[in-house]
Amino acid sequence: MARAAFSGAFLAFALAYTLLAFGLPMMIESGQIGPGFFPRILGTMLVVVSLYSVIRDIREPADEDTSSDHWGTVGLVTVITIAFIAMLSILGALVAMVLFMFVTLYVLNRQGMIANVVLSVLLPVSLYLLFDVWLNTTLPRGILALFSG
Amino acid sequence: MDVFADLIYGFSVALSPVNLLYLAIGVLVGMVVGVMPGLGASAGIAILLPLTFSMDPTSAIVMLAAIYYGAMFGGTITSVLINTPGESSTVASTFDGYPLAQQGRAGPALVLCAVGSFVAGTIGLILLTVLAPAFARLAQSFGPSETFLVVMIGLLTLVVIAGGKWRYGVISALFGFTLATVGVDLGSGDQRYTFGSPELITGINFIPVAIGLFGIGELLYTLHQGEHTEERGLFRVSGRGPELWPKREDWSESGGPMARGSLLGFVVGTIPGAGATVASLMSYSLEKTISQTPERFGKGALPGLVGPESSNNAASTGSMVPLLTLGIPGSASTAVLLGAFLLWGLQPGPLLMTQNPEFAWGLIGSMYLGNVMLVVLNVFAIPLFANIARIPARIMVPIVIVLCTIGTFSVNGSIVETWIMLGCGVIGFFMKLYGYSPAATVIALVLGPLAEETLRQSLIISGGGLSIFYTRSMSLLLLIIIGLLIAAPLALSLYRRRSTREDR
Repeated sequence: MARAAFSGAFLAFALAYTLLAFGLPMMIESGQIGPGFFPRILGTMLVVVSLYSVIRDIREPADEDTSSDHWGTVGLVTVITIAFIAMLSILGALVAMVLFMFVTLYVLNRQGMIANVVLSVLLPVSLYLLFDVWLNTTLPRGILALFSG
Repeated sequence: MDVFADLIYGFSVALSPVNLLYLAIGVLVGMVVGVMPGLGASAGIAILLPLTFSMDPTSAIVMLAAIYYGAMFGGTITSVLINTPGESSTVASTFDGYPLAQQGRAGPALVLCAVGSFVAGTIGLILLTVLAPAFARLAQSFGPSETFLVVMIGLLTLVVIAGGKWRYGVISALFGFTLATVGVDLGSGDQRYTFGSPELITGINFIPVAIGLFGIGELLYTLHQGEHTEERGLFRVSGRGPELWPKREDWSESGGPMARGSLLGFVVGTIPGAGATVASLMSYSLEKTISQTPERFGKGALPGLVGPESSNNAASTGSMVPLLTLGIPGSASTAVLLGAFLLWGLQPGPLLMTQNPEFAWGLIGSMYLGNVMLVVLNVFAIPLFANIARIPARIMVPIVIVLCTIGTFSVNGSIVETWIMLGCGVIGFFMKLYGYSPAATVIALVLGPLAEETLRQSLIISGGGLSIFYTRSMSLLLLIIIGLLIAAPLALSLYRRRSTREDR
């Protein structure tokens, strides 16, 4: 059923996309093909195929076992990652990375806490040096900016 | 011959100390990535692409191509040693590779893989050098209608051959195309699907999507499979000594498969949409079919390992042909490479070989050198790389998530793109779970603008109708090919249904 729901998600997306596509003009003043042309074709095709897919998914028995004991972990790590990205600009890249590493390693690797702590500091610092110093890309400073002034 | 002069020039570019360094780094990184189960060449290239932005395009593409090759061989190592393909192109290597390892013959098996890959790379390079100019000339005769049809062929081939349910493949591809329409429409200058966001005006960048689908998606899938709870066992490949090196019979047994695999692989690779994975599976079938002792297959038959290994390498070389001459990628990895080309302002196509010869031939030359490096590295460093596979998933997952996130952010400093990456990560996870095709999505995303543009131009040329697609002989030929591609699986399933009915 979850499989059908995924197809259903595509169907919902397709419907929204196609609806908006029909709001775009097919022709522009010079008589050329307008911006609405390709999206309308794509959207309509996607609606048709995803609708077909939803129906087939509901009717057919699943031939592959997609059950797992670990859905909770998948969801948890996803949520932690969401928090990580949300904190990037607030706490700054370095602090956010350290926190993320520590929390995730705590969830996944509880038995190796010493290694977790070491890794939680080592990796972010190395990455920060790699990106910020060597490659000269700007990573968010966040609260570090308060300290460096 | 003119082409060989170009090739020598390419080697001279590739042999510059800087590029050699990047080549070495790329091969090493690629092998590490390939050895880690879950992450494949496409993920490795996508994740490391942001790091190459400060580099010269030629050096960057040398490194990325090296990662591609390195990852393929890294995938071989895990396929043979722990029966876990690190790459989809090395799935066929598990069939006979793992039994060989179980019999204690992992050393000779891996050496023959390295040599087979090298031979295939050499043959592939010769074929590429000879054929690329011919392909480029053919590509020059292509008009918008042909280009559009080739894009369609590429995606169709991917969908048809990848197996799984075709409706999932089509949805994946269409989804990629819709993502490509976000941004400013080239024809009219109007904005589409930007919802007033300044970030989306330039469209959806393929890097966050690729990193999300291939990187984060794979990682979430790894968790779903419970790999973070597994303990990795120790295995040993003896470093030196008689167990490492193949026996004489092994060599003679492998010669044929190497040659056949190379030729088959190269041909398959040149077909847009078909790449190393298809080539390796076809080679396995071929070797098993023509073997005098087919019953040995699946129990440690060397031809069943060497053939696919050679062909997936030759296919990688072969897939450079449509990539460089037409700009049509044959796989997820080459799609990411294509995206990289476009980012650097390099337009793949017939002009690439003539306008940027140092890039095109430098790439080709370095691919070969990468092959050489692989053989040398692997013969001496296999145990080292094999041990990297032992890093538990539960430690690897957070490390790679951080790498993906920071890497994505560093591309444009855009938090929106980082969110897109995560969103695609979740989508990619479900796609992998249910058998959709993230590769089709990325290819469609990268080729979307080209597809729309060529379709538009074709329609303009034929005055609003579809006549151009059948009045031009080349287009007609391509249309027939498309028809065959669609018809073949249908015919096959009908035939299968009829023969099972008759059996009753």
